[in-house]
Amino acid sequence: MRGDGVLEAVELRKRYGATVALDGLSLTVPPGSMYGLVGANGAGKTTLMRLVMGVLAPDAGKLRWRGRPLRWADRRRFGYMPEERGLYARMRAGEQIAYFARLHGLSPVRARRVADHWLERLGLADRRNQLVEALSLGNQQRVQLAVALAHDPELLVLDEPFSGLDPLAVDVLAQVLQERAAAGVPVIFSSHQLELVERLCDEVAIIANGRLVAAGEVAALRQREGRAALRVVVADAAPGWEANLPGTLLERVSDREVRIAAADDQAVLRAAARAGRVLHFGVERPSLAEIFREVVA
Amino acid sequence: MNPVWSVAAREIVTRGRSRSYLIGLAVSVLLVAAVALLPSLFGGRTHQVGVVGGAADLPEQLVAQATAAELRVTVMRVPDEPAARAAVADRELTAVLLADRGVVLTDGGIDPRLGQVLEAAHQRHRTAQALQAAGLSPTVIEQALTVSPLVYRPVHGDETDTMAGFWLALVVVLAMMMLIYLPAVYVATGVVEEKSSRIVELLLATVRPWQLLAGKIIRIGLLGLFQLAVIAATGLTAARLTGVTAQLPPGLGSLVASVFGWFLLGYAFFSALAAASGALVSRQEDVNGVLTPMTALMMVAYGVGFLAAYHPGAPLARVLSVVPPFSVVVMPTRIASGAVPAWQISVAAGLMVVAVLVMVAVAARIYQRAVLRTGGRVRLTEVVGRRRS
Repeated sequence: MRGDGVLEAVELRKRYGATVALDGLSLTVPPGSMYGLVGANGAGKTTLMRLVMGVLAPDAGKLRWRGRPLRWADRRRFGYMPEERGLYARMRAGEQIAYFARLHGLSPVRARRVADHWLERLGLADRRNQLVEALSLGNQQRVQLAVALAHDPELLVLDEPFSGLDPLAVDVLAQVLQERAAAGVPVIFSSHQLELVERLCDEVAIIANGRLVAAGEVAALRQREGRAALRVVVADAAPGWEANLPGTLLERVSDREVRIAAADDQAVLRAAARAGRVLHFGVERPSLAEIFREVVA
Repeated sequence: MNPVWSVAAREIVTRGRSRSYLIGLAVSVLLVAAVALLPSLFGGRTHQVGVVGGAADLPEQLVAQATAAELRVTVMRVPDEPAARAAVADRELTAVLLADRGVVLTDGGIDPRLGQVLEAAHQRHRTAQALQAAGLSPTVIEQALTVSPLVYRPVHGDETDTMAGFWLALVVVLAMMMLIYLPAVYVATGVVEEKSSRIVELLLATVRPWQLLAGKIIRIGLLGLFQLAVIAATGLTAARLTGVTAQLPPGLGSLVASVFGWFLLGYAFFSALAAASGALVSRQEDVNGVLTPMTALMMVAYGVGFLAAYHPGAPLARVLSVVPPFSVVVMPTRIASGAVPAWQISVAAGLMVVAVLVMVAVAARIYQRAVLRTGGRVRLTEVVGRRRS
C-alpha cells in the first residue's frame, strides 16, 4: 500500500527555534481516502498541515503530489481549514465564501453560485447576508468549512474540523466529507475525538513528537497494534474468581466482568465456565484510543 | 483572474463604503477648500485710508501705489486733523496721512505693506513738491518720478515670492500628508486586522504573501488617488471661485502631474514600511507603537516640507529635497513654490525609486516571515538577516 498515495510526505523536518515540531516524518495518503491525523497536543499535526498547504516551508524533506513535487499551483486547488479559525468579522457570510472562491480563481458568477450551494448544504441559507461576527461560533465554523469546500478542491486539509460542533453539525460535516472522499478527493483531518476518527477514517496516522509512530487502515491497525483482549462476563461467581483465569488480567471492569490477555482463549473459557455462569465471552480488538495510549506512552 | 485584483477589489468594496473613509474624504475636501480660500480671506481686506492736505492728486497717487503692491485701498479726503483723529479712533479709517506734516495717524498698528505704500506715496509727493518749487514743469516732474520697479532675479533660479506659489506649496504639503501618511496607517491596521483575526493563514494558503500585500497596497492606493483627484478638483474650483487662478504660476498642470508621481513613490515606500511594521504585532493597540519610526520619518519630511514652503531656498530644504524618503514631500513643495533645476528633480526621483525598490523588497521579506507569528511583538532582528530556523 506504500507508494501509491496521491500525497506523500518524505522525511519532513521543521523546527521553531529550539522546539522540534517535525522530526523526519513520512506518510502516504491514498487517493479518495478519509485520512485521520491523531496525536497529542504539540505532536506536529498542525505543522504538518501547514507544510502541506505551503503556509510554512520545511527545513528538510519533501512533499509529493500525484507522484511529483508538490507545487504552489497544486496547492491553489486544495481546500484548507486552519486550526486558528479566521474569517473577516465584518464581511457577510455569503460574500466571504464567494471571496475565497474567487481567490481560488472562480469567476464572480460561479463564486456566488457555489457560495449559495454550500450555505444551503450546511444549513446556513438564511444567514447568507449576516455579518460573520453576528453568527454563533458553530455557524462561523460552518462558514469556515464552506470556505474550504467552495472551490471544489482536489485535496481537503482540515485541522480539527469537528471541534466545537454540535452533534447534528458533526453528522452533516461527516457526511459531506465522506461524499468528497467517495468522489475521489482525499480528506486529511486531525481530531482528538478518536471514536469519530475510528468511525470515519479509512486510514489513520498516529503522530508523536514529530514522528509517525503508527499508520495504516484502522482495522489493520487494530489487528496489528495493541494486544487483543478477551472480554469475559461471569455471573454467580465467588469473589476473586478472576484470579483463577490463565493469562494477564488487563482490567477488572466490575465484580463480574474482566478484560484479559491470554494466548489460549479456550483455556480462559473453560476456567470461566468453572467459576460460574458465563454471560459473555468474546475477543475484543483494542479501540483507536487504546492503541493511541499504548503507542504514544 | 489575478488574485492581487481580487484582494484589492474586496478591500475597495469594504473600505470604500466604510464611514471613516467617507468622513476622511469630506474632511480633506473641507481642509483644502479652506486653504485655497484663505489667501483671499486674509489678503482680501480693503484698507480705508484718509488724507489731510497735500496735492490734489495725492489720493490718486496712493491708490496707484497700492495697486502696484497688490493691496486694496480706498482713499478719502478728511477735512482736518481733529476729524482724522476721530475717524481713526472710531475705526472708520485704518490710517490717515497728514500730508503736510509727514505724519500718519494710526490706532496703534498698521499692515507693514500699507505702511510701505503710504511711505512711497509720501516720498513721491514731497519730491514732486520740491521739484515744483525748483521750477520744473509738471510734465518733467512726472517723467522724472516714473521709474519702473526693480526686477528680482534669483541666482539659484528656484526662489519665488509670489503669494500664490507659497499657498500652492502649502497645499502640496498638506495633500501629501493626508495622501501618504493616512493610507500607510490603513495598510498597517489592515495587516494587523488579518493577523489578529488569524485569517492570514487561510489567505496565505491561497495567495502568495506578495500578492496579498500588493492587493492591499493597491486598493488603498486607488482610494488615495480618488481622494487626490477630489482634492485637486476642490482646490482648482476654489481657486477659480476666489479669482486666484490668474495668479497661479504657469505650468500648474505639470505640477499636478509631478505631485502625482511623487505621491506614487512616497506611497509605495511608506505603505511597504507600514505593512512590514504592522506584520510585527498582533493587536490593533500595538499598531501606533510599531509605526513610531515611520511616523518620525514622516514628521521630519513634513517639517522640512513646511520649511520649503516658506523658504524654498533654505539649505536644509534643498538637501532633503533629494534625500529619500523626505524628497517625496520636500521636492514637490519646492517645485510648487518655484522652478527647480531639472537635474535636482531627476536625482531626487532616481534615488527615491531605488529607495522604493529596496524598501519593498525588505518589507516583503519581513512581512512574509512575521505575518504568521502571532502572540507578542516580533523582533526585527528575528525577521531580517539570514534565515535562522
